[in-house]
Amino acid sequence: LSKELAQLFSDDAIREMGNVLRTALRENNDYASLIELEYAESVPALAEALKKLLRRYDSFASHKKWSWRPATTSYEKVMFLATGQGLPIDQQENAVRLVRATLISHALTFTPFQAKSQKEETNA
Amino acid sequence: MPYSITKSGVPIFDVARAYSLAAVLSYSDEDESTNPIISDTGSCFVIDFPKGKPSLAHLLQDAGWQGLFSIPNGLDPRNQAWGSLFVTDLSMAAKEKKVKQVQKQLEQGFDDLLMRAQAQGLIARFEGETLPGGLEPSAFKGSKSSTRAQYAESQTEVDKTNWALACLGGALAGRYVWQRRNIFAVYPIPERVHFINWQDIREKTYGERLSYLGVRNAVAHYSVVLAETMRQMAANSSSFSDSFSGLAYFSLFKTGNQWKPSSAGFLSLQPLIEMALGHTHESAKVFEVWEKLFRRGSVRGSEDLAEVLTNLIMSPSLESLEKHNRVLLRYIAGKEVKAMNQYTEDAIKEVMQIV
Repeated sequence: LSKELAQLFSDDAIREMGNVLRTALRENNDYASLIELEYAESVPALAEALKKLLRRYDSFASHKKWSWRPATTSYEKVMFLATGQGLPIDQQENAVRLVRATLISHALTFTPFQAKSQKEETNA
Repeated sequence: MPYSITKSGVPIFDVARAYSLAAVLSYSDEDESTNPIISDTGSCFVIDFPKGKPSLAHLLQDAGWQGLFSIPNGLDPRNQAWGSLFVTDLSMAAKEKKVKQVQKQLEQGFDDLLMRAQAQGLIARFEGETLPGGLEPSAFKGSKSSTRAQYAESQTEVDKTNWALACLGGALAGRYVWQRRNIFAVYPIPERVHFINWQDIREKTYGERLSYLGVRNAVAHYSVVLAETMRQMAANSSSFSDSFSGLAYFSLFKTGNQWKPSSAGFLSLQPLIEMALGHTHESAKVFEVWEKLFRRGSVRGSEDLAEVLTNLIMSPSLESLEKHNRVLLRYIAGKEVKAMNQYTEDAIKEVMQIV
């Protein structure tokens, strides 16, 4: 699985959605989105969990007056990957779990807080 | 011509004999410039010692050799583990007697030992001296296979030469951690290791210990300590090429006055060694994070952290990775893990490589 995990982990759309999850958890204590994501076992459940995550992030970012939002195409690309179409046949049934694991792995990593810095850049 | 230990099928007994023969050759070398290399060839452990000149006279005069046969007072794993090895002998006098017996047997049978090891490989015969339970859990008496007629079997016995060799190897190579009424024993299995490097690794790693949840936790933590030490050695020397294939482990627990064997197993070190020697920079961060997480997990209330990390290392899978992610993310979200102790993007990619 390591090859598929690494391939998904390096995907820009996964990285962007992972950044949203990281920010939501660390800045907004959005445990609800984390739990919904952890228990998403199917493509529709994952889609629903990600939509809710984005909605909550958007609301929080508006409140904080942050300009950065993930691209709409990122969500679409993540959902495409979750259907398993970019993966080998024997791993397609694991696609949702693999996407979920890589999203949460991105949330684990420490990187400087992006939304704030981009907000500062926008103001400048 | 190389020396060899023909494997008997009793794993820790075989590994201990390999380390021990390398020690005998190293301490008896008149030249003192050559260094035995232990290699696992599948059916036997081969000890290459091409330019060595082993001699009994040199061995008897060597202070290092004489120092191997003292029973230290403390339970520091860096000490020779005679006390743990002969744990089933309850009196100190009985332990000391056996240690002296080991030394005497190896010194008196020195020429015969080397001749046999060089000629056809040292083959163990299972009769003679009782193998200590602290060395090999399968040596304990009791039923070892299903039987309808008899429900007990005697202790495992081996010939005197192999017994002495195995006991010395056990005292040198065994990392014994005492914790309450348990002993957690770990033996690194060499794939290709210079004896001098192994002594260095032993000195650096055997003292590193925490409060463990169980033997699996102890083994997982030791595997990280060992891999990090090897990474550092590889980073400092471009010629470093030593490798261990795995860790053999078991635990003993005390019931009243008697010690009994508990769980045992084998952990393959290949993924961690590949990570350590293949990507020395990225793996440094992974091992640093894991060491911090193990330390955190050894504290009461944070045992789940140690448990998920142990599972990830002992049986890497998508499921164990997800469990590790879930638990760690809660600690991070709760601001309980400092930023410097968190994975970087490159580090977590390395973690994914073992799944």
